[in-house]
Amino acid sequence: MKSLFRIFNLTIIKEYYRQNAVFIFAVMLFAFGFLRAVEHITFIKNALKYSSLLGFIFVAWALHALKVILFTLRLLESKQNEFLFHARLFSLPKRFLAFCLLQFSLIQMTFLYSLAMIKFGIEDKRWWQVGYIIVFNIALILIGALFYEYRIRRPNSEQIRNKPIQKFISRFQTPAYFFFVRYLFSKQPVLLLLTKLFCCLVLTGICNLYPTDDYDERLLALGGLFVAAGHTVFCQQYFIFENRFLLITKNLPLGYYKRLLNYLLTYFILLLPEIVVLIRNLPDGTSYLFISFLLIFVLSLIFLNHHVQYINNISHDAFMQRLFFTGILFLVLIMFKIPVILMALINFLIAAFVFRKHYFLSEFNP
Amino acid sequence: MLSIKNFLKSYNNHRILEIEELEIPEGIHWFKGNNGSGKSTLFRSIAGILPYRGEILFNGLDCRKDVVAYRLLVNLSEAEPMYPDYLSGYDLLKFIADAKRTPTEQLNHLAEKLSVSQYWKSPIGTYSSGMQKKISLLSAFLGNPRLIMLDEPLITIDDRSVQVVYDLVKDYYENLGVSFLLSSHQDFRFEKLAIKNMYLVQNQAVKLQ
Repeated sequence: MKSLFRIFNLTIIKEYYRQNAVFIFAVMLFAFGFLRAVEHITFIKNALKYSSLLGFIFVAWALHALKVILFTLRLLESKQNEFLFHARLFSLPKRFLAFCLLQFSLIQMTFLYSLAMIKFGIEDKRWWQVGYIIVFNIALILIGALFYEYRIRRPNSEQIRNKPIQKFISRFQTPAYFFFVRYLFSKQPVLLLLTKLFCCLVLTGICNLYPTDDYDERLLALGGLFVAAGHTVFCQQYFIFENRFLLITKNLPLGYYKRLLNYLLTYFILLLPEIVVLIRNLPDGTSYLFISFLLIFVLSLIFLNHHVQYINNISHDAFMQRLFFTGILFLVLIMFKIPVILMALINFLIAAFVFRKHYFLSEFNP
Repeated sequence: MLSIKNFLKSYNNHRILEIEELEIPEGIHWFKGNNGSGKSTLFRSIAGILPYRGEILFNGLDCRKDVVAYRLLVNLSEAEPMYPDYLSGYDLLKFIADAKRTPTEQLNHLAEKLSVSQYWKSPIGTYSSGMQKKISLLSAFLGNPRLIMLDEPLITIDDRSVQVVYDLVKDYYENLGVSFLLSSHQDFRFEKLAIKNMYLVQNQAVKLQ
């Protein structure tokens, strides 16, 4: 059993936390950067008091569990992990226990929060709610383990591929700027959904907050900054995708501008939901010109974030630190009313410069 | 034709390959070497896929400075290609063909010849390793290259396809004057071709045999 869990740990758990470091960092930043301890306590106590709020939390946990389950299934389907199907040779109890441990390790983010909820639940003597939380966590673990068990019994990944959709899509030729978009739909659907959900909610919230007080366009610009920050994980995924599957593009006779245009189109397509949300929720008195500039600003931030990925020898920690301080810098610039279009132009220029200097020198060190 | 000077490739401070000076003339050349000797690293560096220290020139064009012109002339087929499994072979080949400024007839002709057209509209995830290898081989013949590098071209493909690859190499060399760098870790793989030079890749160096 130890060897089985060890191999799951090395191939799936470590890989999950490595690939989702930015996502976890963003959640941590939101949970412990914006919200203070006292607000968490109020939130937890209200959740224990009102079942609708507790239900909302359970939905969030279930979405997170779905994300980790899909991630694990994707890894189990990949060719390099085919050897994991040897797990079938272990006895069912051992295998199932290993799957439970695997799932438990992957849902730590929500599980640790549930521990805090249990603590306050016990203090407030809300036994039923504490019971629900415990049962829900056990259910998340068991459901995950059942999915993995189902998958390991069916080693041919073709069985679960959605053939009609694949068939329909294969009728059309995929242009190069759609390669990464299709990668997200095909390989990272939950990441795509959560990121888009987060960004659209931020924009909706800010657009609705705008008319409630004497805010100016800086509030919308801040919203744009958060949206761009939310796309960091896409930039990292793009870099990984390109280096794993499309390294041959570096051998293609494409000029710098053509390559840059390709990235720009890809990110523009990815930003379409935010554009729709922004236009639909546009606050009164905000000009379309400003909104256009704001969208260009968001695109430029994502574009810059994408191209700095090509700089070699920057550790993940150092990168996150730089990202954080760059975010602070933009926040200050916005507060000082620097026009967003000016910042956008500078971002594009820096991105193009970084790309030209580092693209062919960049190396992927997983 | 191909000039390599002060070439150094290392990973995490571990030296993989070092070439002080190497001039490769036109013709078909065979690079031999054991697994891990650095053949693929050399080919990928020449193709401009991997960064390196030093200078690589093809007909006076610099791999790093003449980004487009160089890559129009130098093509590569990788030993173990990895492509996005949700794309079709056609999606990928059309993209490469457009970038290499390939006429559609050439793409269709090569696809017919290598029997790729029978399956290229299906997702790559459904291909065998041999089918995927043929996609990679086909991509190397697209456009108007002057140098084609085929890394382990004969592995995983069937006997009929081996013969087609031999014929294509011969045809491109004799009729179009295209040079080839071929790699293989086994002896007697390219005996049917007019091999001009053989190079041995070992001990982090390349030597003419």
